[in-house]
Amino acid sequence: MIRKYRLKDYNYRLVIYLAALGMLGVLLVGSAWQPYERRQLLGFVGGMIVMFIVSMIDYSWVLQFHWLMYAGNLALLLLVFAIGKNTNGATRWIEIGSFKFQPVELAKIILILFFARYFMNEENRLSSFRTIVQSVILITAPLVLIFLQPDLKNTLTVLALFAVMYFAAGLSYRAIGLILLVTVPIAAVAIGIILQPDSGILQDYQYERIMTHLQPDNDEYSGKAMQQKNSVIAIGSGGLTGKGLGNKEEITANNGDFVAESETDFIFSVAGEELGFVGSCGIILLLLLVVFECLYMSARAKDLAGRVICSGMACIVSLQSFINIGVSCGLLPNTGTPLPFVSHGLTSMLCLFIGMGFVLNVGLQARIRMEREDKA
Amino acid sequence: MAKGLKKIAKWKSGRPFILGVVFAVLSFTLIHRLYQIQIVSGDIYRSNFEQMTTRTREIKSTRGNIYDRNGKLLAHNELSYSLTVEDNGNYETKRIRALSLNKEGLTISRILRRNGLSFSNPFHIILDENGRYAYDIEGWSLDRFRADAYGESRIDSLTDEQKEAPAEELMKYLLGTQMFCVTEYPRTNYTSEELASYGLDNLTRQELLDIVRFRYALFTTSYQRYVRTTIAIELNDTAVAELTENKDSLPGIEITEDTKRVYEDPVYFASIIGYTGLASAEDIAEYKKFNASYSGSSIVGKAGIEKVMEVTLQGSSGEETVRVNNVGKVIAIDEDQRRDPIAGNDVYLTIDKDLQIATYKILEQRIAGILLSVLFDGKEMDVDIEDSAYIQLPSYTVYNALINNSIIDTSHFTVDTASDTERRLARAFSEKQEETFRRIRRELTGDNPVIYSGLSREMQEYEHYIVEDLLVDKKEILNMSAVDKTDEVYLAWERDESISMQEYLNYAASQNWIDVTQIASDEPYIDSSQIYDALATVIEETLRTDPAFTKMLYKYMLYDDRIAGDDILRICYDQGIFDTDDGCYEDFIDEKMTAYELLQIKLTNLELTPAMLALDPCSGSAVITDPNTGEVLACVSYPGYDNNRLSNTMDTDYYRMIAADLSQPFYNKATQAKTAPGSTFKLITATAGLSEGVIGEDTEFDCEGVFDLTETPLRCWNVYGHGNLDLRGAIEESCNVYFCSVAYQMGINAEGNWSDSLSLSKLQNYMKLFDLDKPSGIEIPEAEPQISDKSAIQSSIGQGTHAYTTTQLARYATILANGGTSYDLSLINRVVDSKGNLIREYTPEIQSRLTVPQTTWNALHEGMRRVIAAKSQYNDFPINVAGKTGTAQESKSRPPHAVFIGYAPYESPEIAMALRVPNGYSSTNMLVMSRDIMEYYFGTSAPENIITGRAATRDVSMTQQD
Repeated sequence: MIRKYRLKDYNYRLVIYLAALGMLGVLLVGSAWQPYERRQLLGFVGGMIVMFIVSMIDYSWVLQFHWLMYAGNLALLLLVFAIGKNTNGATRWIEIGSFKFQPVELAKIILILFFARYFMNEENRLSSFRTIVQSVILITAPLVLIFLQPDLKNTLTVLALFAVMYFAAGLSYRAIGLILLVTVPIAAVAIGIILQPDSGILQDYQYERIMTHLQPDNDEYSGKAMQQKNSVIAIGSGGLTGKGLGNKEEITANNGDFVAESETDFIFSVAGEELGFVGSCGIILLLLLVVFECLYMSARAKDLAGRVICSGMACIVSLQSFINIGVSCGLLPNTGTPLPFVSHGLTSMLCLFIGMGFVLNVGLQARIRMEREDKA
Repeated sequence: MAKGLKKIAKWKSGRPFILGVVFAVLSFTLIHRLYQIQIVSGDIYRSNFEQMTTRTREIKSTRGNIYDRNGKLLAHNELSYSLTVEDNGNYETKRIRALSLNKEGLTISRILRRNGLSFSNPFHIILDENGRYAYDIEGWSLDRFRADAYGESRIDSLTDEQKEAPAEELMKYLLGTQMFCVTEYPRTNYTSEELASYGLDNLTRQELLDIVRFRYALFTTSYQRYVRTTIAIELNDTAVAELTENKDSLPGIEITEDTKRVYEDPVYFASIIGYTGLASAEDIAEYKKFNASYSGSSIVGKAGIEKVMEVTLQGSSGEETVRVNNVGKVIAIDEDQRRDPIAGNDVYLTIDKDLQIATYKILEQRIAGILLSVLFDGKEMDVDIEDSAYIQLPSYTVYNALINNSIIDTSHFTVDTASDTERRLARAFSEKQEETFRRIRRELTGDNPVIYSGLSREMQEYEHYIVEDLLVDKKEILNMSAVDKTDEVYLAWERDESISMQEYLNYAASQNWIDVTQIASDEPYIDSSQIYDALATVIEETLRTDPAFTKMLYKYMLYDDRIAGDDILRICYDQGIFDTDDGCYEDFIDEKMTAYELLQIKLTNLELTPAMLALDPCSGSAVITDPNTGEVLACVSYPGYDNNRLSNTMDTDYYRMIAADLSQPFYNKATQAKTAPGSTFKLITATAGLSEGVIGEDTEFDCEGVFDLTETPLRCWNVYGHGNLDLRGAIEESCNVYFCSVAYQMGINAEGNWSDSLSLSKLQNYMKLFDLDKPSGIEIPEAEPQISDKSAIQSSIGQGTHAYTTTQLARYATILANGGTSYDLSLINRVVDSKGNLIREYTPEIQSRLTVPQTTWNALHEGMRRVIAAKSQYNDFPINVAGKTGTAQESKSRPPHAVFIGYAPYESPEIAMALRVPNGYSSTNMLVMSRDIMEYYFGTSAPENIITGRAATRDVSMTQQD
């Protein structure tokens, strides 16, 4: 299960980007809520260690157990309903003692690994109707469980993740065209129906969040809109260079608790306010570099599975970053998604580092190097 | 390079590249958005942010003090401490939270109660005398409270059971699992050990109520954390110390400083100074014209000088800029932006504090003396009195007065802690009540109702009360606007008293004067016999709890000897009105002292004051001025009230009590009460006669006891006649015939005929010259004077339709004393800022000057001097006093009002005064009162000899001498 790797093949650039993001995260979380700084540091360091360990494990060996992982994943998601903790009308957490764990974060990583292997198995008939239907059925099972928690944003994230992985695996453009031809009109109608106030498809809080975004000045939804509005004001007030990281002298939105959950879902409001435009762009670029490294390794992966793993991780990092920052600066409806590697939240952080471990392993076994080794 | 491009092209499907482009686009969308909000609109957001975090906070100014003319303090501000709480604790579980908060409430309540305090947050369940939970409000306010307690924003949202929920029921709900979980917890209830560990076991009903009240304070602000609620006010030092000591174990509590208005010797000055309270919308609108810093939280003057000098006393509030967090909690104060408040200015009154207090006490002593002098042991006077000045006061009237003016609380008779006497009276009362109801029902529904004039006085009073007060005024069952006032049956009832109540009501119902829906709304078709039954029931139900009717029943129980004066006075001991350590108690209980004797003692030592009895007389007023300046040295209205209990947070119970007090303490007897001036007016008639040339100083008229030159003969008070009198003699003797003759002379027109209107218009000119047609100028509200506009003869001796306040008479006395200068009387001496700099000096304006020859003044002055010189009450008084007494009859059944105006020293006046005691019997009583005041002012007698704290009967007389 552990192969011999060459140390110089290790993707140090990615590690450096992640370390930079992680450290920024520690500082920002510390600024948002001082008592969490230590925990965040521990989580970050622990995450890096886990990533390193995972990166040493041959992903191909791991992928053998892909059906086991798939089954385990479903079991975990079902467990949420059995012993999960209900907060704000949604059941997403499993509590074991003082340890809180959100299965959906792990589910995303497991689904990447599963489909990496599944698509590789189906490599030659990827665009066949049978495979398309089969894979849709396979993704639907966990998707329904996630949707029923209910967790709309992760449902959509996983859906997008599935699409990206299928695309990366090599679904023919013809098939894509056909699928879009069928799904786009259906989706359009479906969204139309969903946004009817009494459709019953959306949970009240989900509907409220969307309406908050669409009508921020409507009093009915303004309670939810406040957090986001304050976040936009906070980021806007940061200007070019910000008010200084961890600033305690000046009155900041952060110090005044204007933005709730600023250590997790609204960490970017702290970044925007204290680091300004320069710092915000820095974070976005760092995240983009992480994404690019993943894609770069995807392109050089030794097999289709490796390619899918890297693209999937790139998708998760990119999409979650976009949602998180988009929400913080008022582009998207208010939905709680952590900012990868930065936000406080142990489950998300750990799962992302595990995912990155696999990406690094893919990199270690890159096609070009393998070829070189074969030649040798 | 080419190799690199090739490499890119070689990517198996180029798909990672496409994804890269997509993800890059997402990132640049974000960067674009950030550019928009941080760079393009950065300034706007920054100013938004400033707005969001910056608040200006008002710093209240200190209200100015009020002093007397000598700098003695009358009103100032004291620091007061309030206890506030916010729900900011963090608890592991809801169960622990409930237990901890309940324990906190209990701890705080115990500390407060140890220090004689209690929670002050709005809450309307109390523990009544029987130890049951009860509401202390009713009507709409109660509905509103129920809705709040049940957590409904609208009264309509309550269920029917909730709308009617009795206090016990609501308490059960608040204590229970749905609300504060004091006694039980949902699903798994508290174990007794658990409760004991929090000290929440074995709680009394009072403690449970306190805990609920504490939790309710937090509950009412629970939608917002970090909002502080005041839960106790006016903490004393020990409470502050104890709470501070325990602060660590009482999360969320804070002791905040506040100021409260404190009045020195409130009872004597309340009628002048008034009181303060929270500004109303009208107040704010009014005062904002002068000072922009008035707001809904401003404390403003509500009456008296506090109101008149509001803008001066208020000062100007300051401002500080603070930075707040998302819930408005101040996290930083911007010291640079602070604008300090400007303290209000101090107001110095012209009043002499000591003189004011002494005058008040003299009034009380003297009025009590009058009461004592007419008091006798008995139920009623035996003989009908022709002259109301000879009305005597039966002791039974006094016993009854104790119940009638609510000095004795009859509702206390039925509580658990009631004394034996009280219980006995309560039993006797319910017997009397049932018996009376039977009689009323018989009169109302029986076959042989008695005509009104044939009834006993008692039944007449009941029926009159039922028809006029209950059915017309209180219940509006009998609609007077529908009643035909010329109707025969109506007049038979109202005027002739020749029909029974049953007959009258029967007829009223047939004429649709009676609003049937009021008595039986459920049954629209109701025949007359049913109406009577229903009406009798309504009447009975209403009368059962009607306080006025209850008092009526007690009165007749007293007069029928069902209860005795003894019982009444015993209850005075039981209810703490008398002190059992007074040295009389044992003798009284052992029947060594009669009730009458005890009553005399209590009246004498002023444990029973005239104000408490509210009989005739029970009130009085005195206004003393400096005739050289027009400044008011004393302006007394007896009885007074304690304005400390009305300022700050108004003690509503006290307010209600004072408002219902039959002696009307809120009614300023010096500036609002008006009566005719009586013989004190004769000096104006004299001035008119001299100035109009109808008499000279030496003109004499012969008084034979009656003036009969006009249609209605007018008797002189001396029925035997004064004989020949000149002007000075007439003033001295206050001879009616003389002044009527003067008025008569003035009314002889060019044709030699008598003209009432001519005489009256001439008299009126002189009333106006003495400014009696104008308010006195005093700064606090004053009733408009009314100069007499009927009957010249009556008017000339101060009867007629004259009506003046004591202050207006005081100005009249001032003009007489200084020989013609009419000042606008003033209470305000000067205004000084908080650093002691003089802001404005007030000197009374001269309203007018009355120019008559010095000889006229001399005649008036000498006449007034002779009035006093001739009176035994002023025997041996070392200072020469001038004055004039007067009485004014208003009702044949009540004693006349007694008035005095005067000044001293005669040679060069330092003070002028007007005194009045409504229903004060004789003007002689005013002479002794004035003498007491003169003695005090001039120091001719030691203050302790004048102000003895006992009813003063020395030299009291009922003989009329004016």
